[in-house]
Amino acid sequence: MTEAHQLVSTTTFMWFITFCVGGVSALWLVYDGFNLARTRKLDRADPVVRDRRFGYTMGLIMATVGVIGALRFHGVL
Amino acid sequence: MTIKRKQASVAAVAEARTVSPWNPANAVTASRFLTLPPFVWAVMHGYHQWATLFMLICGLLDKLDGLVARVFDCRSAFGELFDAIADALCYGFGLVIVAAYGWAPVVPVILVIALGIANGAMRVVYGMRAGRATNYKSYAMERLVAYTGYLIGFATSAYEVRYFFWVFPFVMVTILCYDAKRMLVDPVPQ
Repeated sequence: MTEAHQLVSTTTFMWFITFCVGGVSALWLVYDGFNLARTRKLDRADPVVRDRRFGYTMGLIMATVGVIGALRFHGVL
Repeated sequence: MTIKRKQASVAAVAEARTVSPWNPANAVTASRFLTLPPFVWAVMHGYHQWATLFMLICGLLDKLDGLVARVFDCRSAFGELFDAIADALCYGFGLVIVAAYGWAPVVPVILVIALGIANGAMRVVYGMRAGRATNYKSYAMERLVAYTGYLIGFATSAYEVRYFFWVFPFVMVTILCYDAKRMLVDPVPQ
């Protein structure tokens, strides 16, 4: 049941948020992992390459935080 | 072609063309501010789902402006700067609102805003060092900005709020330390 000020039921809303957090974080993990792997052969003396590698690594960390948060919300962790 | 050369050629093309600030991409960026009054209304009335929806629209418009800039070929240094300013204002305002109404812990919000101001100040210094309106492209900060949008979403949906809010400042400090060296110490690319 949804109340007047709710767009969808609380269960649907929470699963939507879980998809937005856990699902997107998992995809992000793969995406930035792939990006990081692609920069392995590039010249690390180049500051732009270093920026990209650092950015992708931080992306991996943030995505991991997201996945852990989604698992925590559902009582898995 | 190396990444450095590619970026240099893109920058050269952007500089060669004069793009009016009154373009569709900047209009999309500016339209993000329209989501803030209804966001405040939703938070004031305790409507969690509506508040999440308005912040979601704000985040989607952030993604859309880059796409519009590419489609209409109106990328500019000013547009990038305006986008960064809109990010700071929208997300900073959103964080203040959720903290003020008790939907998020106050201490991490204060830390995030203080670090955001420090980041803005470093970007001004970087622009002065470069001698032109330019925005330092930080791949890590791009990801952090997306996380900030999510952070407000966590508060509006009451989703593991303490965990996400307390992890965030540590990630932000790490990125800021790296970017500080790049913006304040390393040579500015011409």
